[in-house]
Amino acid sequence: MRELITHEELMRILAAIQSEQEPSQATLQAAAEDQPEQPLTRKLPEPIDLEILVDPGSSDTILCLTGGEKWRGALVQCRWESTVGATSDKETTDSLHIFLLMPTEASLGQYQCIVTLKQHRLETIPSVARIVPRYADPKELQSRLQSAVLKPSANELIGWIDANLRELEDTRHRDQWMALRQELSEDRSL
Amino acid sequence: MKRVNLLGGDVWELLCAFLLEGDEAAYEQLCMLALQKSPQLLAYAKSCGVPDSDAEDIVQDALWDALKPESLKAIWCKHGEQVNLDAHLFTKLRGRVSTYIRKRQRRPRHLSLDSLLGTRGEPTAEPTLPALGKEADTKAIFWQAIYDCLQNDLDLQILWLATGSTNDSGVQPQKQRQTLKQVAQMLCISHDNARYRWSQATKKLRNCPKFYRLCLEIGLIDDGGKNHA
Repeated sequence: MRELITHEELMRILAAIQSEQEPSQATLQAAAEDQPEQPLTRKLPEPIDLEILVDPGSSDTILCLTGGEKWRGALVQCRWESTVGATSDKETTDSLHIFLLMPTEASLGQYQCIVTLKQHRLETIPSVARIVPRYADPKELQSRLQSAVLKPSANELIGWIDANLRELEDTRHRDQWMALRQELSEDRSL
Repeated sequence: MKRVNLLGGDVWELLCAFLLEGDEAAYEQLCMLALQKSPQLLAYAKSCGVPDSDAEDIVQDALWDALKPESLKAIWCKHGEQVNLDAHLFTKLRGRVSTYIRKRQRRPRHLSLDSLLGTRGEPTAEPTLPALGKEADTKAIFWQAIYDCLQNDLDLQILWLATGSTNDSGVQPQKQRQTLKQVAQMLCISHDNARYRWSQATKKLRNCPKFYRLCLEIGLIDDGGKNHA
């Protein structure tokens, strides 16, 4: 069967969807002249349905995530990628990632989490992913948690596993999830 | 006149005076500080697409939310001396704006699509999205069409992260397109799994009649006499 859209067409379409207008020079100038620095914001449309706010302070950064129902109680990973040096043929990148747990209680129909990253001044919007328990690999999660700058406590992670037990039960990683839960409860995993 | 630092410092002292000692004058000063931000808040609400007629009400509501004693107490407890009134105000405003836009989006969506049909018959060789870039509703329709086709949260996120965004609405753009290895790390799945799912998801999309029609209608692809039907 012939495809309706070629691979190249699809890539162009997705790139076009993701692209946004560059801030105008006037906006940039206005922003530069604005005395109090405005937080950076980005809205990811439905069905992603998330708003990200980054407010860099002098040495810390406030991150605020606000999402709809899908983000209720979600375990979320945020990653900042920054190019710290470049040579003629390759770039060196430095990245930083954190995990956070969205609340299970809504405020005005939204689930909002605010965290402060101490000692990190971040001036870009991070990539944000919601961990989908059904498909996540506990070993990958454990590895990422270990190198995260900020993460939920062992008890909070146990709570997240417990809240998703039904979804995890049918997965091929079920035993590993239980093992991770056990390790967390003995406080020797992270 | 004493200059008040909105980012901690004096705000912290005012909050302490109000919350610990019930100092009403301190609360009034906090309110004044917040009100001074009204022009920026108003500009922000308008930049999010809130019409002028509603923007002022939304800003007022956000200020009201932000200045509730329980709300002030929450940021005071959470951030301590690092409390940032500015961020607090914008956070409340974003919540209000988001609710407003969500309500507006619940109106029949075909209206937004219809507004784009004027581009039909004028496809470009290098598709760009002049209308989509400005129209948040249409972007949402687009991603909803993708989700409807894939019917899977993980696949949607893989597509979203892998195709990335080339800019953000802040001052500093960041190229966020990621490799599938990075996408796998973000979602805590194996690289092989990410590759397989990416391949299956893009294949599904390329053969999805609904997605194809949407792309065609808004001029993202040119049928070019291929007679796909």
